[in-house]
Amino acid sequence: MADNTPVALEVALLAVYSLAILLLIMVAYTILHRFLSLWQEGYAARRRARLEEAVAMLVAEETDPVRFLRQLPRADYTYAEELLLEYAAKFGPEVRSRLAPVFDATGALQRNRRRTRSRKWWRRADGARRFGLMGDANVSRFLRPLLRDGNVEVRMAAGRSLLELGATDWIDDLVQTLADPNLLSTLRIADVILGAGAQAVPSLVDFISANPGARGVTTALEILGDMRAVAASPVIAGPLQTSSSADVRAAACRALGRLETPDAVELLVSALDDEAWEVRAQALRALGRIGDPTAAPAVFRLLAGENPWVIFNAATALAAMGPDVHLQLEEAYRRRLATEAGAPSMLTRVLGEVLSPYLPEGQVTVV
Amino acid sequence: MPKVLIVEDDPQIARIVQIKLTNNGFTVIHAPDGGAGLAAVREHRPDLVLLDVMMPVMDGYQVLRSLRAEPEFAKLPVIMLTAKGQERDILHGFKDGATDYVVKPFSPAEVVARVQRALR
Repeated sequence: MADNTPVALEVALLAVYSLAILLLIMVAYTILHRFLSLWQEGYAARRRARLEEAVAMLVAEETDPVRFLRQLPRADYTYAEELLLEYAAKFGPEVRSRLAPVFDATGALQRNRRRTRSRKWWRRADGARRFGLMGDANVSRFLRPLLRDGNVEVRMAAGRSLLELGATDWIDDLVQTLADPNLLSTLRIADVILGAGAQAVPSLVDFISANPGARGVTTALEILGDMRAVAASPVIAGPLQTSSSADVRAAACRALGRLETPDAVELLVSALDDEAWEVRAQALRALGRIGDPTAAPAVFRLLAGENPWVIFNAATALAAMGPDVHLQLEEAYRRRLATEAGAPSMLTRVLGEVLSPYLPEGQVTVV
Repeated sequence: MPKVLIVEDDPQIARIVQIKLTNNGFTVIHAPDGGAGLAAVREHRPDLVLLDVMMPVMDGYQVLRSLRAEPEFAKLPVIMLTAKGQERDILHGFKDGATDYVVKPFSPAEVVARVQRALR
């Protein structure tokens, strides 16, 4: 035991020394790394500051791109790219198209192409976003394949960039991705398609006509409604009459309501007999938006139903159908109040709630 | 020489607009936030104000309301510069007394044209 003590002590000391050296190396590395990062940041800030005025002059059309490039050192290409992208994001397409030859000449397009081929989705999305700011319509050929990317962020960035570049031949590709099973992805893509405005209507119409039962039709119908694409109303009406899905039929009703065209009234009135309460409720909401009093008799009939949403939407629709129908509704409410002793029925409570903003104070006794 | 005050917290936007306006014969003053903008209006008495909406200290609507509350600046032309393009934001600006509205991202040449029109 006594012979072993010095060896054990030596081992322990060696371990302590090793740990101390390791700790020292780690501290030295951390300090060096921090120092290098700060130096790099400072260096980049100095280079950017030196370029800032020249870039501002280029953006403000005080220098032409050829002269700017002649004065730009090769070592500053990447700094210039970042600065130009910042400016491009803040100014309109005229400025971007002016900057396009500079992005091309400094190799920014090629660097960005590599970015869009990265295995990391956030780099691909960033690459797609950058292409949109570079103002060169020729890059749309690099963006189009990204519309089929597996990641929704990349698809959205590519769609938005194509929109920024003024290209239109890509909308079909993006509309096809509405069939994505992920509803959140579909809704985000819908936002990009909405941004395309009227130019997306033919692609949406083709999508609905070709796949009336397909996934994504609901969203396509909602988009057409949000765009107020009145010319597409026959296509929106199709799924309401033929689709076996209550979700699709309800979406068609919502879309027809947003169009606010009296031509849809007849079809929406026929949808009041739909077997699914969701469809009846949405048809009522749409009729309320259109506000055509000729639909009132059919809508009054649904007040006698049992589904609270259908009753509520029927009462709301009637309240929006002009003064004559409104008076009839008030009359019905007063009659019910007079005849119902004790606890009021659901219909009476709904009528009271719907009419309360219009009734003189003191009339609303039950909610 | 007409005097234009730019109240804008983004130095890059302010610089570009400043270059364009200076080259078109305007004297330009820049204030980096709403509070400084209000002080600059009182001190320099510009002929027109280009006013950003989203800014630190005071937003553009607050600056505009403060200006309109002072009788000497009640008719001072104010063009709002903002990233918000929604109808209600534009209406909000007009309700508070804005003369015109430019939505970002904008063309610097368009801003110059609007300034010239407002001062005509």
